[in-house]
Amino acid sequence: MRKMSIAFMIIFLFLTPLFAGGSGESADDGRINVALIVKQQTNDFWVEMIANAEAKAEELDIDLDVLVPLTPDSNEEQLQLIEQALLDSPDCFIIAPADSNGIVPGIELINEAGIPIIVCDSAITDPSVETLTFIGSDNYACGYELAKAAVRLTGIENGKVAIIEGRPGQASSLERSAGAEAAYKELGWTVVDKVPANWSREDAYNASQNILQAYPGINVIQYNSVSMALGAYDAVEQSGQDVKIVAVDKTKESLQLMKDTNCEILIASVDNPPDVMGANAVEIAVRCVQGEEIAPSYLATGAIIAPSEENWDEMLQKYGIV
Amino acid sequence: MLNIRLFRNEIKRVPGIAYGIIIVMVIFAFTARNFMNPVNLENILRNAAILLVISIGGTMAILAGKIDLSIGGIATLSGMIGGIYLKSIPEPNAFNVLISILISIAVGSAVGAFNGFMIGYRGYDNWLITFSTMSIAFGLAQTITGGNIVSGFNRTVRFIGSGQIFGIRVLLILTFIVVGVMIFVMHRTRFGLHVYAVGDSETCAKVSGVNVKKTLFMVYLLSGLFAGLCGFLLLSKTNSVGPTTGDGYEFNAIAAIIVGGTTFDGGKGGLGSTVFGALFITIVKNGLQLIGLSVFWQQACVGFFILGIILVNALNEKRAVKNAKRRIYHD
Repeated sequence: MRKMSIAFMIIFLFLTPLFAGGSGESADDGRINVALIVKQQTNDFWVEMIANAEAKAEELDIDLDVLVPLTPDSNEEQLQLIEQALLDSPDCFIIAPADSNGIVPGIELINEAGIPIIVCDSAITDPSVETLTFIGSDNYACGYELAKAAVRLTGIENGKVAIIEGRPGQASSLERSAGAEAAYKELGWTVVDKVPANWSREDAYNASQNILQAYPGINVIQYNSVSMALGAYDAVEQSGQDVKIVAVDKTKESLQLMKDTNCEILIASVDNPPDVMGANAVEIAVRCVQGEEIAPSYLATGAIIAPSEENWDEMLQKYGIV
Repeated sequence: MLNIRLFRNEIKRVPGIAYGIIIVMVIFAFTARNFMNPVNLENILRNAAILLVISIGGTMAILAGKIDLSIGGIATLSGMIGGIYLKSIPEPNAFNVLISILISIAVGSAVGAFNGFMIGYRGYDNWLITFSTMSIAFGLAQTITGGNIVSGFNRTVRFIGSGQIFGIRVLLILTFIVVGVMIFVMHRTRFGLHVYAVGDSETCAKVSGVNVKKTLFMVYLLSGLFAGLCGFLLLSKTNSVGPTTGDGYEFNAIAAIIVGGTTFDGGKGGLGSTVFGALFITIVKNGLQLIGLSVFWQQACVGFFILGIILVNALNEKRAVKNAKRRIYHD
């Protein structure tokens, strides 16, 4: 058996170059080719980001290769995707790293190939690698502003708050929590607990239930993503306690919910516009390939979304909510 | 005449999965851009390598008629502890890396020994015990870093995972040696034969004088050891280890093992088949990604491919049993 299998393998290895000719044409047809590597596609934020990046790519008439790890937020798979994408030698990479340090070996490979890299969502801080620019929201500011809004809108002094975080260890989640904690501390509130819920609706539901059990009398739960807040909404509503929710990001679903319930429980969110990020990244990639000057970073602080804010009606209109 | 018959018999004995691999490779060669690019083929081998190392223990457990669900958790925990050690040193050198590997292996072996003790000597259910240790390992990995990722190592640390010697990846050389040694152990040593015997029938093995308890203990110990090694390999290859690094590896390993042709009945199959199984799973994932299928379809397609192979294996098994019976009655 072993002899046979080895023989087979050897024959096959000799045959492989024959097939190689058939493995598709290379993408070198003069069009700009950009590889976009995101963290996942199981969450509204990324779905919207990808959709907008694709729309922009079509508008600018370029090839956009969207690569998504099978396991959400897997650094290992993102590294594999980089290796795969390099086979095509794209003109530019747009990468949203799941792990800002872990991605470094992949970034080194791209550096070696001399291809520019646009980082989005979570910044890469390692000084040993070169990236062109960073596009993203200021996560710390997002958490900070949202926490301030929560205190302002509830009007409670010395309240108690819990924070539901994303995947453990991820920079975007950690920064949002850090911002929120700083704001609550400044305003005299107590953060009673921080629980990771992996950006997952279900995990957030369970985590919220536990928190409501463990800390009766809590005033606010802050979620590091709105999809987790939506997942946990029922848990909070059914608890019968007077607890408000605030969350980073917005989706059509969350806006609709805020409108329908008159912001009874979900009182505010902070914009972290995925559409702008996706479209911007593609546009900057094209400008960079065309040799234009690129700024070292494009940071945006999202606006607070609540009926008390100026942009409320505009936001509802944009998503077709009446 | 004799030669033809010999040839036919030999063909029958090539594991079905080898044909499966050839078929998917031909499909992808025509449909997936860059699939046959040598760099991509090397990527496939490197991606299969870690899955293969972690599957060694899983294969032994399944050969012994048991299962080890804790390998992903063990890999995470041991990689994490090895990583924390490396992080405590400003600029780790080769010696520190060696210590880190030993730490990872020691942590893995310790958890494996616990599994082995509870299952082999105490006779507790293997699913429950390994499921609990999986949970404990993931939980501990999260606790010791407070949920943070340990990442950002220098090139010395990453040498094993992504370096080269004479143009060959160190990871591949290492995997080749480890798997080679273990195939030898499983087929040419008393311990290996005992594992097969225990998997076939614990009672028979016991009656024939096999120390079943000790064999099971050793199986889980080794399984933990390789999972621990794998923890370091993941760290070295991906430059990071987080609380969810090894998540899902237990099931990928089981898929690779079963697809390879080792069956849950125990005693049938072997590490050689797992090599093919791991290659198959990796090739399918890689090819589907290169085709550019949406990530949701990829997930489903991986499932379909695995299902297909398992069905073919089951049919072959049935036919083999039927043929064996015919021979008994007619000859």
